[in-house]
Amino acid sequence: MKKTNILWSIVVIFAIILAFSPITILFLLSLNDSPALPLKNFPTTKWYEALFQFPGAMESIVNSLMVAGVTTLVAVVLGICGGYALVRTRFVGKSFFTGLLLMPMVVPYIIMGISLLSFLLRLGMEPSLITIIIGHILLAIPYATLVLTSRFIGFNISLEEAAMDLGADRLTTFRKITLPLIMPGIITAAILSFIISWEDVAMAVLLAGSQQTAPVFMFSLVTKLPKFVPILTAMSTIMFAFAIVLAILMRKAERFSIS
Amino acid sequence: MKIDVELKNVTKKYGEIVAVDDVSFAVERGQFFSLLGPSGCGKTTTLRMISGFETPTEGEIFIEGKPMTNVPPFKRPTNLVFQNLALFPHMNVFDNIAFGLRIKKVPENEIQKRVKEMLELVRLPGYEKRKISQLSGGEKQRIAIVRALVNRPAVLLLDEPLGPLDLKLREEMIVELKRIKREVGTTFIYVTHDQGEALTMSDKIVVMNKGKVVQIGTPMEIYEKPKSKFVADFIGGTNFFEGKYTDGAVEVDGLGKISIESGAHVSKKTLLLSVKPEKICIGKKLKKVDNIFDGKVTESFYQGRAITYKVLLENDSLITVVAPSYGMERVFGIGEKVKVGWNKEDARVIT
Ligand SMILES: Nc1ncnc2c1ncn2[C@@H]1O[C@H](COP(=O)(O)OP(=O)(O)OP(=O)(O)O)[C@@H](O)[C@H]1O
Ligand SMILES: [Mg+2]
Repeated sequence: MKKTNILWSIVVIFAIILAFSPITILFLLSLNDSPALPLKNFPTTKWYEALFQFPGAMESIVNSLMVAGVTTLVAVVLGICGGYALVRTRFVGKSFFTGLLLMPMVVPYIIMGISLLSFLLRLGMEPSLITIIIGHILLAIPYATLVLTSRFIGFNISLEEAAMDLGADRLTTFRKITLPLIMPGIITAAILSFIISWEDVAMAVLLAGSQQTAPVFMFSLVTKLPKFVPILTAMSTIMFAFAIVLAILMRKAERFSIS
Repeated sequence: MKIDVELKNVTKKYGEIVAVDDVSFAVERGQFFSLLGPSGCGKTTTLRMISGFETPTEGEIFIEGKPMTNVPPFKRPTNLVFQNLALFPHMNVFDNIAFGLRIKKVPENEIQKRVKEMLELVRLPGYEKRKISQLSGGEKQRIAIVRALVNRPAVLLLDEPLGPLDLKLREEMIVELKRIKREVGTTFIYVTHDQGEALTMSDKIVVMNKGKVVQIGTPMEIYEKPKSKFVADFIGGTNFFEGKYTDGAVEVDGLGKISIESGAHVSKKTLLLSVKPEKICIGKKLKKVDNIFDGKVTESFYQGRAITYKVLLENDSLITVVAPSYGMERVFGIGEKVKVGWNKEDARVIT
């Protein structure tokens, strides 16, 4: 029994090392004097300083934060509505719509992006951060809805009825009972939506106007290799840190909302 | 007596399914009133119509004299203890009980006081900070009951609240419920499929079957004077005898005469008799009993307080006899020849 436990620990540790080694190396390189290992003059912040002064870099990160933030907000709200509708209500063609809703998950982003672009242009919209947000919302909705649907499926409706029986109207019931109990689903959906937007390149390239998101900005620098590699490592580290901090904060919020 | 809840010809249909069929009854203020019937007979549906979660397809429900059509659940003077309790898992015991009072904007110090009173009522003082997941089945039960009671409803509705508890806990909770009822005096409408619970606790019982009311009466009336074959059988089980009536007795084919009390029923030719298992005595010799028949024991179950026998009579019918284990000389074995008998007044005429 004990032996297998140790074996499993080794497997897990190995998997973690495997998963985190590129990031660790990235992190080390971003603080290194030369663009490759071995470490020299470690640690130095010169690449971070260079990044902050690099035209468009900080701006793209701010853009990305904004796009991901709005995407998350909208996708989660729509995910709650969608999950609720799919689980709690009956309507004609429900299974058809469920299928339709999940379609974007199997369609390659690039195809989604192209069709969305032609559609939006047809509507007379100029590519901008807003079109990117629309694209990202489309990408995130299936995931957000799926997560919240499963949350609603596991939801005991008599809890809501009990609240109403105790005098709470529909809105109060939603605020005091439904919302706190689906909170873990909301947090998961929010993290997923944020990450989908945060890391997307395909949609953001196609739908971008004059303003770029961070991954697109980085992509454009990659084409000018190898001069900018160290700056890219610094930027990647920042991007990664944002994602991690966000995920941790949300998990904390979840624990807080349940207790 | 004031009527707290009244149903007038209430019917509930789900498409083709008739869950509740033309049900009428009146519950007096302060009564412990039970809805008793087998699974699927429409008890929960009836309760949900009273609390407002379902609307009757036909008929009307009155609570404290007011018609309840178009009154949503959160505006009715009733509180429901759900079949699955439905305690809020994200709140502790205090917040669960205080939920209704907070909605009604009762001042916080008043809430503190009333929650404390309630926890004392169910003998769980100091449980305020407990999480729901840290409660035992019986504790959850009691919290669910006071979460409803703390709102001082005109009527407390309980949907099989003792269902998932084990036998001992059930018996304790029955005593507990009766005590709570006595202390608060609120009208209780109690749903159960367990005749034991209903008989023990109720002032009045409505027996339901297939969506219909089949009999309304006190526990003793329901048990001793069942008006139909269904009630006689459902409440405690029974033995049926069918035969032709001729002066003072019913002639059963292959068995002989069963003498019965004289009554108004003599106009009918064929009569159905019900004799409750515990009204039948069993022995090698029987004295001072009106009706005595020969039989053979085919099965016996020792149950501690009582012994249940299956006895085959001479007309090949199998009857059930429940004999108290108190004062027994011995337990009769399978295949043993015995005599069974009962007095006239214990044979109830059903039809
Ligand atoms: N929402 C519904 N849709 C369709 N049929 C329903 C619905 N609710 C209840 N029924 C049917 O109505 C009948 C009565 O149901 P109800 O839940 O009132 O029974 P019950 O007496 O409470 O049974 P139990 O003791 O098992 O809880 C059942 O046949 C049930 O299948
Ligand atoms: Mg039920």
